[in-house]
Amino acid sequence: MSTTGKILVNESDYVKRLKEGSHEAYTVLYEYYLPDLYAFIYSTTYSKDFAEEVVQETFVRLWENRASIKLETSFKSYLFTIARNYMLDEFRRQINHPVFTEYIEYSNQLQLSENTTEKHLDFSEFCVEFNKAKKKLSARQLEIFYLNKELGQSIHSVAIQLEIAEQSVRNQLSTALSILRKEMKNFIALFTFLFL
Amino acid sequence: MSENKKRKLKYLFTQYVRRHITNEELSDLKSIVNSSGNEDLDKPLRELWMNKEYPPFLPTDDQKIRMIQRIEQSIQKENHPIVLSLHKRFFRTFSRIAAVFIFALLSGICIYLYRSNQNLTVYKNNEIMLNVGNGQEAGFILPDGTSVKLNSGSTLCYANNFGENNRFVNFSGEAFFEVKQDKNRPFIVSTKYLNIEVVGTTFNVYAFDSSDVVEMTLLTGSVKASSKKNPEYHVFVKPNEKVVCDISTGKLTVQKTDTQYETAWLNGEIVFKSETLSNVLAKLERKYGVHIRYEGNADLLNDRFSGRIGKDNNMDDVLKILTNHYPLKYGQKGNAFILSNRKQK
Repeated sequence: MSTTGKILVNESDYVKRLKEGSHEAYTVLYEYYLPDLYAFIYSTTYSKDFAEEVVQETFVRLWENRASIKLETSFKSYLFTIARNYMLDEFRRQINHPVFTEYIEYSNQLQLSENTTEKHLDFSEFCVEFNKAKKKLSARQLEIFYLNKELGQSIHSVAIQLEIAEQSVRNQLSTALSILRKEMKNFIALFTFLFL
Repeated sequence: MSENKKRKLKYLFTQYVRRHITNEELSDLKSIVNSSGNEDLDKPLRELWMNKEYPPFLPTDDQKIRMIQRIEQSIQKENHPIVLSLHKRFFRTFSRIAAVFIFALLSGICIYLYRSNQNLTVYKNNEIMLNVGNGQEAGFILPDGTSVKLNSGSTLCYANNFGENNRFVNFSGEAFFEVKQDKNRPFIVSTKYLNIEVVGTTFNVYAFDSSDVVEMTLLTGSVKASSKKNPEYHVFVKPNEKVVCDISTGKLTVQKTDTQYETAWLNGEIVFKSETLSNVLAKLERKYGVHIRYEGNADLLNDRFSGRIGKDNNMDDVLKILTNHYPLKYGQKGNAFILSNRKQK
């Protein structure tokens, strides 16, 4: 069943016609499966841009390889096979990202407090905003921020590494945070949670 | 993977897609995923997809329209290019000569269209695509006088308004470019992960869409290389240097290199420098236009192999070298070569 609740009648006919090169059958199939596939990829990769990319790539590949579709296997399952490797590459990258753990924790809290599943954050949007904001920092501030907040090193060990006083690490860090806070208006809620 | 672990993985994925996963569960998921191949992850994810056990995060109408437009655009391109496909080894010499003629003709059309603007729009959506099959190599001259040598399994596309404002080609595979100097119209090679912008220079590009390594080696002149994924990453490359693109992060690094090694393929040689056996086999399939079925020990595929194969060596010679080096034997079945485990004496 598709997300709209309708069932695609005669799916196997459309698949057969696609295999024979019918563009019309192709459009019926992508109209039907595209929203679901998008939802699935988005739910596994947490990235809207990436979900769009994978959906496009999957349907383009479907068209290019239409002649080799096997009619006896499930068409829905075949779509998954095409999308799988793109999706897994991104998924692996995502869960190994340094700030992903914090991001997940925040997403969960947001859902609990607002009591809605509609309110979900896009991880890549968050990263883009965050990187933009970081450009406003001086080189030193950036270095300190990276070591302490992203790599999780203590103030003490940052101070030893950079050969400066612990107090000046603290000062630089608080300046950096106030700069970032100003830049991150849209994501302020998330930001506050992550780094304060 | 044990049944228990499989069940756990399915549970973790379910929590993950529903945005309900806790931090402890996330670190469990991470460690299972990082120690499993895509095959192991296939089943639980396929089940989620088939049974629709994921939240209905549907695309907006705008997103839907955008995706459909892009899909239609891409398949349109695939439908109507002018394709010069050099397939069978048998016709190799003949098709080379023919290709040169057809190419001269196409170049002529381009120049003609370029001069008479009226006709240009009619052909504007057409692309010219040069496709060299496995087991082949071919050289072409582009309408601006740039010479390109394409290695096996490579594809080069350009619009027929090439040279009008800029010189833009889409490329996948391995090629050696000698770019005709033209300060006003930069020559741009666009690959899946890497963009290369030059004025007049000679360089080698290794950028198969399917490969996990993307490289450009510069022989003369200077070029600017930028990452597709993240255009902020760009580097300027000097002669005898190569730029390597990490396809997962889009990061570029510049390394010193031996250009003789990078361009050995131009002399019909293949050089392997600490490459995985699976890479070696993929290169051989492209070079000799054959199919190789690997039935040996899977661990061996990650073993690193170095060696040089001369232009006079054929597929048998190469397989002899490989089977001497590894506990493997080879045979032939129809069109395919089969590598399988050799019994220890």
